Amino acid sequence: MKKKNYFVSFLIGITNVLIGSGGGIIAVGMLKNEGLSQKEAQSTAIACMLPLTLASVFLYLKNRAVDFSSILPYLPFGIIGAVCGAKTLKKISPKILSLLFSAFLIYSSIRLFFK
Amino acid sequence: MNFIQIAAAGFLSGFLGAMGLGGGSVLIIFLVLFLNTPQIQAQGMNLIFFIPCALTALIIHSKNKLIKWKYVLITDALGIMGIITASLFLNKIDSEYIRKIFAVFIFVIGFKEIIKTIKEYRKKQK
Repeated sequence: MKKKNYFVSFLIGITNVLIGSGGGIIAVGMLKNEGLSQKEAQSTAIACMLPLTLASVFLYLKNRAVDFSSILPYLPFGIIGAVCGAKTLKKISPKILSLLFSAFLIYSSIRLFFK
Repeated sequence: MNFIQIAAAGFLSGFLGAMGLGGGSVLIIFLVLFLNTPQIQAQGMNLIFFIPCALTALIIHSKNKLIKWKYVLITDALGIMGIITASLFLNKIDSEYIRKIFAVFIFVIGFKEIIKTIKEYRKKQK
């Protein structure tokens, strides 16, 4: 792995704890930088984030920052969504979706910042 | 908080997450902006939420042979160090401040993606 990406991996850990998300996106960018294709990078990133997220959850639980029950209603829909998403990933390139999503992120960031 | 909101937010988060599109942000945004969940709790919920979704997506992806495990090992080794480091100051930062950091983060991501898409579009035009 390129030297700078060792540091990026370290940052992924920090980000995952600090903002409870985002590690995956950084991971995808880093893996593509390492030469993986878009789809390989996206899939590998998920594999990277799973153990790291488990560790982060452990941390949050230990600090009592969250409890399990609050997320339960969302889970069945999330799993269905994940199955659909994983199958779609193999078939289509998410470019338009990505653009819409970016617009949504920018809108949300402004609302969140000034909340 | 009604059933449709939960179903939609849950589904979208899982869907986008499985596509590697930062689905994690969707759930946190929904929880904080619409349900007034405290930022740290929303982040914790998102982290928990990610696990079954990622497992599901992984099982499908590994069948497609898309995962390069060598990178997983290296990234995680360094990543865990990052997690331990962050754990040292997680308690010391205010929730409001973390929300702003989150907001800046998603702004940067959104902005970068748009620039990237415009660049790719221009390339195609040529």
